[in-house]
Amino acid sequence: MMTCKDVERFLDDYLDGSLPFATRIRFEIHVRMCAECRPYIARYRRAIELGHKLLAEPPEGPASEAVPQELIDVILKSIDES
Amino acid sequence: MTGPARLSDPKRFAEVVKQYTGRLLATARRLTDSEADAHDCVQEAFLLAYRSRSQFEGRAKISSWLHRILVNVALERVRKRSRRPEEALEDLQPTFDERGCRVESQGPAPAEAQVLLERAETRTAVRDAIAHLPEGHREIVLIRDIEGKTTADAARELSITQSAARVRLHRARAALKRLLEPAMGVAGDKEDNKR
Repeated sequence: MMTCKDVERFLDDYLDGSLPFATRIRFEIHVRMCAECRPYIARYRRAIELGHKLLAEPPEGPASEAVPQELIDVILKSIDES
Repeated sequence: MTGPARLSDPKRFAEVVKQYTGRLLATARRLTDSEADAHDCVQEAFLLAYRSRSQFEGRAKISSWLHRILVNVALERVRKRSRRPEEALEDLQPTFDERGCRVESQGPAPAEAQVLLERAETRTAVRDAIAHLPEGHREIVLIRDIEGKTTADAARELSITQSAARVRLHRARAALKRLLEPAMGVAGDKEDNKR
């Protein structure tokens, strides 16, 4: 029987989908039965998503933000002077 | 024209500045507390990019390379301003009893990330938590979870073994989970608890 500590050890491989089949089944049985691991994993996963959504590169496409010309001018000037 | 060629001389670099300032500014606005800070970060990122342009080998897209520089500039600025020390990760790891059961009780399942990030406090908490991870742990979170590269890629970039990269990533993620508990404290998607 897998323990919470085992679940912790296998968690990243589980999220990557790289756990061997038999281990994944044992992992999922524990999580289904464990009232602490279920919310733990939900929160662990959410922490990863929060970081990704805040910091990841936005998808390709035209910039929707207004670009102040004076900012571009200041950047080009600082590069010229460097 | 290849990426490295576009960066090679000042005139072409100016085109890069004009093309990517809008995208970088959008990101900088999410990561800073004021418009002036956002502008400063974008300016500093382009200056750093210009000075280190010979290191750009063209394996990544120019936009991704610039994005990474900008994120590092913004996080560095957070660290310098807060004067808070790096987090002690040992205190932020989960604990287990002698039977291997979790000791600390978990809160309810959190709301969706997109919903949580609508709050400025959450965005600040996420930014600050990542900024204050120890350097090696912050780097692996940026490579794996932000840029979406593999553990093997991260290990190569950080010159560590894949096994060490896995351990480092897990400790960083567990610490972030703990640091972001207050931001996730609202009851949300109950479906996560049923999975």
